[in-house]
Amino acid sequence: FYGLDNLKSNSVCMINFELDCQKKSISQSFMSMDGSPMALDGLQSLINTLSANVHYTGSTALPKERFKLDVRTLNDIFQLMLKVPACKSAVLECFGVAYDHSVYQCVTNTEKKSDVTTQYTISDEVNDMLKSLLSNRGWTSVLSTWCIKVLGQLSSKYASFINSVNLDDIMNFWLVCPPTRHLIEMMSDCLKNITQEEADSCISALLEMLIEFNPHYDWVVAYMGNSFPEMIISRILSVGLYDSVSNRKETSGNPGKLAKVKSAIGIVCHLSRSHLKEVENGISELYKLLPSGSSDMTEIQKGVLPFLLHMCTASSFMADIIVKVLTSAVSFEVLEIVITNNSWIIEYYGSVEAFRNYLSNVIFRLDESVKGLLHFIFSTEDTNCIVYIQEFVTDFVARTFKKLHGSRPSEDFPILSALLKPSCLDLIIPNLLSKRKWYKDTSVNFLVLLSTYRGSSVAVQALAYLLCHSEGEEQLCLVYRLTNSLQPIHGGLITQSLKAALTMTLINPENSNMRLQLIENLTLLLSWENGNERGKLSAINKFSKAVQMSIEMFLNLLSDRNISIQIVTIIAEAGLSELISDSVAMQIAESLLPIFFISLNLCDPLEKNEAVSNIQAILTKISSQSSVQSFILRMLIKTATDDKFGSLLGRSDESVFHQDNHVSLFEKNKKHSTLVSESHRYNAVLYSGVIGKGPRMAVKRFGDIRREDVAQNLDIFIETLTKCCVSDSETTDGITRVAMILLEILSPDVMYNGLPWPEEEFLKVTIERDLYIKKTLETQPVLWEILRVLAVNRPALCYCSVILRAPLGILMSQWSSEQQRPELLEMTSKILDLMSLGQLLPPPLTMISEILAKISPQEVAATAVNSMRNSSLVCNKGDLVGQLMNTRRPKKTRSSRKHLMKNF
Amino acid sequence: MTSMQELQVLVILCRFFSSSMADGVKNTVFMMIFTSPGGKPDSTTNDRMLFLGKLISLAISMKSSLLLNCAGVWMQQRGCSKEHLLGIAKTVSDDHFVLSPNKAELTKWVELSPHFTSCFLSTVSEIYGRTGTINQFKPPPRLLLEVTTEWIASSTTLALAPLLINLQPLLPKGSIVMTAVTPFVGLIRWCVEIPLLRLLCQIRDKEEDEIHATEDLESKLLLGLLESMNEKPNLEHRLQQPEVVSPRQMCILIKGVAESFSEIPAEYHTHKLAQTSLDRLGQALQIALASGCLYGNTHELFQALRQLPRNRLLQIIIYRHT
Repeated sequence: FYGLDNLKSNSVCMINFELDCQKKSISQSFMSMDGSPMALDGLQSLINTLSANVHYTGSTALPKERFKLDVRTLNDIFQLMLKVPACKSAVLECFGVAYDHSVYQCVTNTEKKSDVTTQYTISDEVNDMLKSLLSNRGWTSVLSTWCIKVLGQLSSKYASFINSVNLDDIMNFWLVCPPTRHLIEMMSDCLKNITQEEADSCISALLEMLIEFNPHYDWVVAYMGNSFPEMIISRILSVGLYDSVSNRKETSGNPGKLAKVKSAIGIVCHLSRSHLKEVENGISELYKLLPSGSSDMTEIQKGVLPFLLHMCTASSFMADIIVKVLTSAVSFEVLEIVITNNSWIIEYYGSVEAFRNYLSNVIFRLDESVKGLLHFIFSTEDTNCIVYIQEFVTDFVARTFKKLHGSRPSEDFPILSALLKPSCLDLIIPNLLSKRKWYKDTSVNFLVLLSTYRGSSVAVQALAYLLCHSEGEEQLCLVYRLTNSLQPIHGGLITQSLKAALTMTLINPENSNMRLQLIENLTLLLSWENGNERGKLSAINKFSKAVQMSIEMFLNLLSDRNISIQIVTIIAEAGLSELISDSVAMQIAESLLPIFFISLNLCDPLEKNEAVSNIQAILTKISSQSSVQSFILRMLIKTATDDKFGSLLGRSDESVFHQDNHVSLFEKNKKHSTLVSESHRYNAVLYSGVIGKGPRMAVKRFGDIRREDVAQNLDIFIETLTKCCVSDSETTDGITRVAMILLEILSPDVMYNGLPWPEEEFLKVTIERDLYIKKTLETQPVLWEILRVLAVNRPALCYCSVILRAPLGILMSQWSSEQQRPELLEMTSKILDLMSLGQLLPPPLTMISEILAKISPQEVAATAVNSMRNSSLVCNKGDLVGQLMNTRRPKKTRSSRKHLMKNF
Repeated sequence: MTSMQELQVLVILCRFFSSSMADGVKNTVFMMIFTSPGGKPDSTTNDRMLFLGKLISLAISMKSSLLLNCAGVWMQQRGCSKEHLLGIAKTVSDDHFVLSPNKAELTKWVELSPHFTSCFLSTVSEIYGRTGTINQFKPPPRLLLEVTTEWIASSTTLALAPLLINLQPLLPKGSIVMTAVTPFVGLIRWCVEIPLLRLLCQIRDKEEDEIHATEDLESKLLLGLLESMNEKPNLEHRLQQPEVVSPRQMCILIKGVAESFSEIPAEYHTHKLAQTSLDRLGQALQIALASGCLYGNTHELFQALRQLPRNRLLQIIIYRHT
């Protein structure tokens, strides 16, 4: 190399130039040069200046002294870089040192909390210079490569200054430090501007750095991931996966050394918060790596699930995402292949048992995602893998039970708490009724687990659901299965469940199917209980008790006419509790009475009998309390005589509408026509408006009721009434009540209702009342029946003697006007019969009604008067006979009179 | 080695090769430094090429014509279109056409070292242009196209420069002078393929600004190239080798064009841009054949030419020369 001599000779020239440089600005001296040797000299001197002042400290040593170059020099070398691109790496290196100094200043200042800010203005200057280059695409790729490198060096160099290992803290630390913030901002600016191809190579470089400076580079990648999620995330995931696969071989049995995997997971966790969708896509890509054919799994395929599980343990949020994606990305075919080919389990976890243990622990820490898991479980079809899943779920529940038993009562299990959320319960509970046995079993297991964990509310919810939705005996048996396993833990479960179920049906009144189903199920359950069928009843009469406890809710349901009969059956089957309060009893009575009358109208005799006897039983039971009794009796009689149900018991009258608003037809027609009304024209004669009050409001009545039905109904009613009168085997008290009530209902008057029969003349005073009572008696056969009961149970009839007295008075006056009418006769004889039955007539007169048809009206009137007189406690027999003898009588009745006399 | 130290070495080398020293010696040293032992690429080749790229870039900034001459000789000996040389051209073109675009300085290259410039063009025309299917066609940066056009237009002998230098005295004793390669084929390819790329962009409704605005430049470049080829008869006595345009290279170019046409739907084959492209090809061929730049075994070439879509000029050429 003889040229080297030449080189030496040049050095003299160089020294001269350096002297020159000290006088002028470096760049000036350099830029003014033209012609190659001198330009080279200028460059040489600049290099000398830089290498003398900029100490490249390397990647570990901290800068010892201040950064010597001032802003002007930096600007010079920046210009140099633009002019002589070959210098770019050297100049950027120099800038890197400037950043290094700034970061050092920053870091040490943060530690000392002092306010010295002079030094990192250098990096600000440099940052401004470099930013001016970003418009040039060529520079962006140069700068991004440089940024990636410098950031890696700086963050690993100063990592010891950060006290936290949390990625967020680390990122925050670096972003607060201006130089690094500038660098990373510049980097993301660069990445925005470059082409896809260049970006790919940048990201590869980024990931290389990630590996090289692990774990200090995580924050950079995480930051970039925030800016370019779709580019970064899937790559990070695959880097993590590949690393976990390759690391397993090196450190098998010691999974602690997976630093790169850890940082990959850390970054993805960080990004998952802001870029959920990209992370989900990334995870989904990983799942797609799983084998879909039957061939052997590759190393990567074996590593996918362990890697994902590892990620689940790292962050519950990631676990949520992974589980969520699982259901959509993995088909059961794939899962089957993976599960049956358990070589990966053996490789990664040693044994299936160890894997289960690991997986249980992972699942045990799940939170939100448990819902996704449930979805998954309850969508498994009958493929081969179901066996594995079943086994695992059973195993898991058993493990959890064990944990629960070993835990303190207040200890919190996030997975169980998550399962308790409505969204999860909504998945579990309906599967109780699934056709697949395994879904059902799983649900039962979960529910038992949950109610062991946190109280009975879950069990109540589940039982309520079952009660409302089970169809058929088989499904209903599940109620017993559940209660048997839970009742020991939680008392009063059934009552609560029943109440919950009733509330559910009450809340959704439109869902009548559910209500019907509940009623049906309950009936079935009660019949099982009462019949003690099939030995199903270890909890005997649980449901009867429950019904008794929630009787008020059933009463509410009674208003639904479609199911009222069934509910009555249920109440009757369950019986009433011994300690029932008056108010409840009254409520029961009030709700039941309309049902009673409705059931009278039932067509099916069997049904009718059952319903009626049920109601009778209930009413009898509650009427044993005297306060309730009077209420029931009053209600019974009142309902029997009212418009609505009266016809069932033979009430025959039509309600009369009084039209008292009399308006002139002429006036009314004027409203409809402006024509002058002339006489004999149609508009004077015909009415063109609404007639009366419009169509008559239909009173809902029962249609034509057959005579024999009426008779039967009457029998039933009277039977019920008498049964209700019995309280503590004492009838008379009740009967007296009936009398009083009847009197109150029938007589519109408050006066003159007393026991004694007034003088004949006095009847004129009470004639209006009497007419009313007579009219009522005429139309309502039931009253006669009641009166008959009163008559039989002496002396009850006395209390309502006015009821007899009033029609009798009217009849008397009618008879005396010599009208012979069959209805008069009928009524008179009815009254007389009643009186004699009630022993109001002395014995000779008891049969007097027999002869009424044979004697003349006047005689009848006289008879009536006499019977009236005689009944009023003072009995004068001779009077009556005398009356009969003296009365002029028509010929046709003679024989009968003879007969009468003979009888006397 | 830090970048600063690297730069120092670069400066020293630059200084060394810029010194007034016998060319033969300099070229010998240059070759020893930058050619891998045995002349075949090995593990050090990449680093050598990277370094050489920086050295050439520096030499350009330093306007060191001596160094550039050395580089030109070296490149010609290595074969300008060899793959590892592409990296050098890439570094140089990135540095001077992208990072530090100074048109005034760039036009001076022709004065500095026409030989190097010509070799650079041969290499750089391989980087840009077709690298596979037409979808991977990378148009040259506008500035590169502009400057190239200016170079070719300003000096008709530039493209022929490698043929005008007798390398034998410049080389170490006993070396064999390699066949010189001219930038003609590579640059003609730009002129022919860019219209096709533009047409493809139109068909696919893509916006590519860089491709749109260079039409005039291409025409001018083609004209320059044609004039340069026409110069051949005048320089006959100075040429070191008779072959200016390799028929083999030309044939590859034509096949590439045919391939591009296969991706363009047939109804577009009569499109103005397609015809422009074919016209340019025809013009270049005609002049090359007429000037004697292209001769020898052209059978395969004409065979390939017949595969192209119909074009009147091409038909005349085919008719006349076969």
